[in-house]
Amino acid sequence: MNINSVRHRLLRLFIGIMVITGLFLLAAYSSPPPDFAGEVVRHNILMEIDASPLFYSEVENFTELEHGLKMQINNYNK
Amino acid sequence: MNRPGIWSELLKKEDWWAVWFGFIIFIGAIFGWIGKIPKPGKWSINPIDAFNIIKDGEVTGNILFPLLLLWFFLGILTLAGVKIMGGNAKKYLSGYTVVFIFAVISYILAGQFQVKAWGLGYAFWSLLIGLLISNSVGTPSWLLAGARSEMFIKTGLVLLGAEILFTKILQLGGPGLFVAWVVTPTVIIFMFLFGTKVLKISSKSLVIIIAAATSVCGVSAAIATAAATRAKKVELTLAVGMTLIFTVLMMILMPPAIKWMGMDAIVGGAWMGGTIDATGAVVAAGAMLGAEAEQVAAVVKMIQNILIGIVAFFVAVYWTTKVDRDPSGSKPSAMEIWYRFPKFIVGFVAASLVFSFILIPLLGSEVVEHDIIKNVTKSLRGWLFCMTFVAIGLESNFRDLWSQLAGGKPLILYIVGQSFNLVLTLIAAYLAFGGILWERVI
Repeated sequence: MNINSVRHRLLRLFIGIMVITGLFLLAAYSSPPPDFAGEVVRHNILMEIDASPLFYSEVENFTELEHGLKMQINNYNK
Repeated sequence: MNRPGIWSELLKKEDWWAVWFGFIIFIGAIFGWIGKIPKPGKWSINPIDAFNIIKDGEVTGNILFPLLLLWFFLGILTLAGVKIMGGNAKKYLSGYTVVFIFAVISYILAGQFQVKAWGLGYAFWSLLIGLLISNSVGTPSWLLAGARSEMFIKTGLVLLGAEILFTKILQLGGPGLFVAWVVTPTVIIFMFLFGTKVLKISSKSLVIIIAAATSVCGVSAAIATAAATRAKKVELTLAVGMTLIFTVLMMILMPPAIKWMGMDAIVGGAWMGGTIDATGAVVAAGAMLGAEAEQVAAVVKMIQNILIGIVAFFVAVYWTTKVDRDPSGSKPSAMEIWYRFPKFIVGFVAASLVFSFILIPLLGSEVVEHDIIKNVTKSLRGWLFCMTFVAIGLESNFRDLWSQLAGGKPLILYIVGQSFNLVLTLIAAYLAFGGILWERVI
């Protein structure tokens, strides 16, 4: 592997790290978009809702959601 | 055909090792031999806070030693299999350690509280980190030796089986089942036919991964069908990338659209539960319409999540008997089908059935769901999926990804399939929750 190739690869690594860091900083510290485009994210921040779980079992308050629904159904049937 | 004997196959195939690893973890979790699995937590400004253990608002310690133990436990457990399968122990351990460190970094990035609000979880960051290495400096061979994506993915899926609890599917009665279980298979079949017959995408595995991700539950379904069809890593990368992006878009756009249309909140919740791919995004979008809509959306999604086991099983059967079969050859015998069948699916389905119909009645849902699943198997499955995505990123390059895009056909498939899903689920949600086919349940 020649020195130019190594330099080229390291440059690509550096640019890639910068892109990921930029993306992270944008998501973590910038204000959500105005109006309807940022409405859900602003609500998530305010209510501390984690929108990242992939599967139902990863949602922290899932048991409460299930219990809440059961109670709603029972109340509705009464 | 010269095939290994049955005993040799049990020790030489990654599929079986996934089952053994899962079995050891289940036994350890059921008997309380494995404690709570650590994971970097939520933080706001200082990423070091991700390592804190917080109880009642107070920092009581850190997870550095538990994380080290986890690295050791997973390393030793998987090393045994890798060694017996003929791998190089030294290379595997070095590569595995770096993959584990990248997984820790991914969890830290995903744990920032505003990043969580955007729905950018560990799958997104781990895939990006893997892709960064492979497309810049390149993935060295010693690192590739530890990036055993197939082994991580299959073991993770066997563990995921424990979370597929059939006892939960009737929580919303007929309406919930109707929205989650009638629309989903229809969309999968439609997308498979559209992708293979109309768009003529040559890779059937790519089509079924995108179809399952769109109609069942996004990333988890993509992983399950990719493993069941032995798809290329780059196909899974593409499907997961598209799913993650569209999940965020749908989470952002659907609640304002539902409000603007003046739709009933319960119908809207069921609609989002049936269409947005990831559960976290479903809950976040549902919460915008109120508590009741949030609960309906979450439970509809959960009922759909449970379908993943059935979908993976039938896709594996279809692939073994139809797609992988030599078209000019005779009909394969039962033995031939069994030989080709991905065995980890057996572990995946067995785990689901044992947890649903034996362990829950025996130990109670509180013990099973909290002590076994939440504290142990779910977290270990998360680590294995996170390491899978790091490994897949390390094995993928942008050139292959670009060639998979094939004139934008996978994107067209996703958009057409998701549009069909949106229309069909909306009709189903109205019929089921709008008081038409059933009396309103809520």
